Amino acid sequence: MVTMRKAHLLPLAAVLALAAAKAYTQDAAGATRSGSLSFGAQGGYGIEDSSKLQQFEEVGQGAVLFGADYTWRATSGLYFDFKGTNLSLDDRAASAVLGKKGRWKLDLRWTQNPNFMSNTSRTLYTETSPGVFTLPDAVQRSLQATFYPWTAPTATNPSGVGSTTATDPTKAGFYSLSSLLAGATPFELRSLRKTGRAAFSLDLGRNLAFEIAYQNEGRKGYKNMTFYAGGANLETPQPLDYRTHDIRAKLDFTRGRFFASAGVGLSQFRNAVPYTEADNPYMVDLLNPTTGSPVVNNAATTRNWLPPDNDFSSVDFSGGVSLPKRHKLTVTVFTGRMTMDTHLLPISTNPYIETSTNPALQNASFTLDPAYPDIHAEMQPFLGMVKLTGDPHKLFGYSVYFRKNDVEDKTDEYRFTSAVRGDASAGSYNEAGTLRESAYFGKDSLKGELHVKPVKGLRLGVAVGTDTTDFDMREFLDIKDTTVTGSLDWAHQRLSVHGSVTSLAREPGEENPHAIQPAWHGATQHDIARRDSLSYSALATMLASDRLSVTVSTQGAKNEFPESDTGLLDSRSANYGVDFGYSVADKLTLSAGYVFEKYDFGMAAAYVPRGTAPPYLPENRWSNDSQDESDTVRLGLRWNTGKLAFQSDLDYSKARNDSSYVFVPGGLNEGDGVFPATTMAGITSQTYGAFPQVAKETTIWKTSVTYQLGKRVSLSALYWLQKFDNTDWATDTESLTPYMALSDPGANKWMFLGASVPSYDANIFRASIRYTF
Amino acid sequence: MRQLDRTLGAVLGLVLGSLMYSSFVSANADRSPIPSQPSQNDCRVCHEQTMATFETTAHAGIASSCASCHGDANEHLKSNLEKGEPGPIRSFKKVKAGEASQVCLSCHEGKSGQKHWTGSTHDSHDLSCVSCHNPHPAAGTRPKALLRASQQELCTSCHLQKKASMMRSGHMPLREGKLECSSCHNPHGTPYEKSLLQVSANQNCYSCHAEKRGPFLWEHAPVRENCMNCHDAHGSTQDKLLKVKTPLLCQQCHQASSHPGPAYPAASRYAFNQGCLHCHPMIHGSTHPSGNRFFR
Repeated sequence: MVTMRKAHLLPLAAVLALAAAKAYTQDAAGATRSGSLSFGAQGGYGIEDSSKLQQFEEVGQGAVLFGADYTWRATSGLYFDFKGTNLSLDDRAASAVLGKKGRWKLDLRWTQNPNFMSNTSRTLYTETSPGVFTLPDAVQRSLQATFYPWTAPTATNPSGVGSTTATDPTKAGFYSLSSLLAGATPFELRSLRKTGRAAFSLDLGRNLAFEIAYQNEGRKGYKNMTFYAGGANLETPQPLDYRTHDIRAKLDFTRGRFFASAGVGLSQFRNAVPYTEADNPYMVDLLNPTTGSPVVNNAATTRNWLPPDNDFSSVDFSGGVSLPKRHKLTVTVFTGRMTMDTHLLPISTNPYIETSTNPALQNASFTLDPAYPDIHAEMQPFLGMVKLTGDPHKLFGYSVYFRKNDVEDKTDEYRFTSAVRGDASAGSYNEAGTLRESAYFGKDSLKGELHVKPVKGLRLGVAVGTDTTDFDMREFLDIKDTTVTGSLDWAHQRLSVHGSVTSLAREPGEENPHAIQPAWHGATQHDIARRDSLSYSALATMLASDRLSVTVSTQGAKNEFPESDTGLLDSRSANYGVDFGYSVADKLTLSAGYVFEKYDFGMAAAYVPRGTAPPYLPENRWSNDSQDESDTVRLGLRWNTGKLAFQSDLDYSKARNDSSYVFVPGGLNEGDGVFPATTMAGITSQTYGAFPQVAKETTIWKTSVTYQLGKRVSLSALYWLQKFDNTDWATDTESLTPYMALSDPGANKWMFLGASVPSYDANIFRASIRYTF
Repeated sequence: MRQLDRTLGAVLGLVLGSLMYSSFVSANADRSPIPSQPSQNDCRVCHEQTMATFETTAHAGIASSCASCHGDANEHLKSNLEKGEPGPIRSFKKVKAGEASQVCLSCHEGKSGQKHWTGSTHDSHDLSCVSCHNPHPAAGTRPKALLRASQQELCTSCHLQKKASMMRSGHMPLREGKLECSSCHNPHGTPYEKSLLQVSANQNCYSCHAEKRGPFLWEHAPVRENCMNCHDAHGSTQDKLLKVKTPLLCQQCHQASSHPGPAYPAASRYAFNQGCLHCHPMIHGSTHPSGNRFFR
C-alpha cells in the first residue's frame, strides 16, 4: 500500500518557487501582464424548487465572484497563467500554470463537482456515527404494530413470523406509514467531489520529455441506497467518504522518425465508511409470548457492505517509427494489476439466524463466521497492439492492426457453504457451497482498411475486421464478430460529405459447460451471442454562400436477432439532424439546429412458476416494446457592435419514453400476486397494457448584454431561464400514487427516502462587472 | 495458455521495438533546408489583420517566419512585388488533408498527444489539423487554437447527435462545463477503441469512478466487460444514464424461473424507484460472502 507523504513535496515546491521568484525578479522589467476580474450579483426565483437545476452546478445567489484570470509573460520565456471560475461557489474551478517555454511547466488544478440528487428526501433514521443509522424505539414499535401484529406460533410456524397486512385488507400498508414519514427529517441528497491535481513536465533536451502528475480526489456526501431486509425494502442514505490518489509518470522520446512513450501509474481508492448498519425498523422487541425467547430470523439491525478499498498499478509503452511514403508502424503494450484485499466480517448481524424456521431442521454446520478471515481479489488487464499504416501511392493507402485486450482473473476460487439472503431472513447451508468462479474475458481484434483517392477530394474506403471475444463466465466460450465497413469522404469547393455503412455478423462459438445456466437465475445471452447488425452514418456540410453554412447528418443502426421467443428481440436506433450558421452581417450571426432521435427496444420473457423448470407454458409469455423519442432544438444569436455585445442561446430538449406490454390472455404471470390468477379478497387485480409515458422536457435560455464602458471595464446583464418538466412514474411520487394499488401484497412493506426529482421553472438574473488590467 | 499468449505478445513487441530502433533514420529526408525567407513584417504588409491576431497565439514566439508552415514564401512575395499578384504559397484551404496535417505533425507529432494521428479515426475520414484548429484565429486567442469557443461547440458541430444526448435529463456534466469531450477521448487518436484515453471504456470510467473498479469477490459479468452494456455515457432519458429502465434492462438477460421473469406493474417494488436495485443494490459487484446475487 502506498502511503502519501505530502511533506516530500515541500522541498520540490520550495525549489520551484525559488526558481520562479528568481526568474521573475530578473524578468520583471520586460514582462507583460494582463488579467481580469469578474464579479457581481445574482438572484431570481424558482432556484430552490428542485435539485435538478443545481445537479452539477451551483446557481449562486447574492454576491458572486464569477471569474478571475491573470497572465504574466517574460521575455525569457517564463510565464504564469491563472484562471478561476465560480470561485465563490461549490462548483468552483481554478488552474495555475507556471513554466518556461520549451523547458518546464508546473500545472496546478482544483475543481469541485457537486452532484445534487434530490431535494425531496426525508428519513426517520438518525446517523449516530458514520454509516450507523438508528431509529427511536417508539418509531420502531409503531412500525412493528403496523406491519407485524403478533401471529401466534404454530407447529409449522414456531417463530411466529407473519405479516397479516398482506392478506388482510383491514390492515393498512404503505399508506399508514405515510403519517409517520410526514414527520421524518428532510435532508438534501447530495455529494461534492473535490479534485486537486499537480503535474510537472520537463523537457530533457531536444528528444526527451518527462511528466509526473499527482491527483488527490475526495468525494463526500450521500447517495441513496436501497436494500432487502427480509421481506421489507428499506432505503437509507449511503455515506460517501471516498478518497482516490493517483500518480502517473510518463517519458516521451522522439528522434527523427522514431518515437516512443512509456508510463507508469498508481491508483489507490479508499472508502472511509466500508459498511452501513441500519436498525431494522420492524424489530424492536419481538418475543415469543409463549416462550419468551427472541423471534428467530428477525434481526435488530442489517449491515450493508459498501465498495471496498482497491489498488491499481499499470505500465504502458507506445512506440513507433515513421517510414517513407507516409508509412508508420506503431506498437503499444499496456499491463495493469487491480487488487482488493479485505477482512471478512460475520455474514450477518443477527445472532438468531438459523437455517430453517423450524428448529428441528436447523443445520449444525451453519455458521455466521465467514469461511475465510480475509480475501484477496486480483485482475490483470492487458493490451497489446501492432498497427501499420501507409500511403504508398497518392491514389491509395491502407492501415492494418491487431489488438489483444483482456482482463485476466487471478482471484482464487473461494467457496462459501453458509449463506444468508439478508440479516432479517433465513440462512442456509450447502455442503457443496457457492463457488466464486473466474470472470475472465478477452478480445482479439484484427482489422484491415484500404482506401483509394481516384479524384481530388474523393476518398473511398473499405475495412474488414474480426473481433473474437472469449469468456469464462458466459453461456458461450467465445463469440466472433465479423465487420465490413464501406466509407466515402468527399470534399469539393463548398461541399463536404462523409458517410459510412457497417455490417456486423455475430456468431457464438462453443457452449460453456461451466456457465451459470439460464434455466436458473443466470442470463440468456442471445443479445450478446448472436445477431446481424447494420449501422450507417452520414454527414454533409455545405457553405451555401459566404455567409450561410448548413450541416445535415443522420445515423442509425438496426439489429436482427435469431429467431427466439425470449430475450432481446429488437434493437434499433435512428437520428437525424440539421444545423445552420448564418452571418447576417459582419457582426451579426444566427445559428439554429434540430436533432430527432429514436430508439426502439423490444424484448420478451415468460413466467415459470416457482419450483418448476423451464420450458414455460406459451400462455405465460409476455413481450414489451419500449420506444424513446427525443427532439432537441438549438437557437443562437450573436451581435457585436464593438461597444455593445448581445448574445442569446436557447437549448430545448424533449425526450419521451413509451413502454407497452403484450400478454397472452389467461396466462399466469406471477403466482405471488402481481397478476393473480385468482382474485384475492380485498385485492384489486391490476391489469394494464403500458407503463405511463415518461417525458422529460428541458429548456435553457440565456440572454446577455455586455457594454464596454471603457478600455478596462465592461458591464454585463444576464437573464437565464431554465425549466424542467419531469413526468416519470418510477421516480415522481405524484405520478406514482394512482398506480399504487394493493396488487402487490408482498411489496407493501417498504420505506423509501422519497428521493424524487421535481419539475422546476427557474428565472435567474445576473449583473456583473468585468475589470481588465 | 493465456499467459503464454501474453508472453509471446510481449516478446513480439520487444523484437519489433528493437527492429524499429535499429532502422530509424537520423535525418528527416523531407526536411530539406528552406532558403532565406521573408520575415513576418514582410507578410504583415498584406496580411495585417492575420498577423495582428497571430501575435497573440502560442506559435507567435516560435516561428521565425511564416514559411515554417506555409512553405517557401519567396516566390509568393516576389510575384506580388513584381506583378501585383501573389505567387504560389501553401494554402491550408487548398492542400490535401494529409499534406496539411504533415506540416503540423512535423513539430507536434513527437512529444505531445498527436503521435497516434496517422491512421486515427479522424485522419481516416480525411480530416486534417485545420479542420478543428486555426493557428491564427480571426477572433483572438481561443483555447488550443480551436475553431470554436469551446470543445463542446466544436465537436458537436459534426457530432450533432452527441449534442442532443448531452441535453438529456440523465447526463454527464458536460453542458455545465465540468467535463469536456477530451476528458474521455483524444480526437487526435489513441491505440484504443473509440479514441478513448484509456485501454477500455471501463478503465476510462474508473478514472473518476474508482469505487466501481474492484475487483470484487463476486463479479457481474456485463459490468466487468463493458459499462456501456447498461449505461449510455453521452446521455439518456433514464436516471443514472441507464439505457433502459429497470426491470426491463435486467430482464433482457435474466428471464429465468419465477422472480425475474414476470412483467411487473408500475406499482411494484420491482419497477418503480430503484426497481431491481431495491434488493440487488451491489449490482456492480459484491464482497459479502453471500453476495453472489448482489444483495449485500
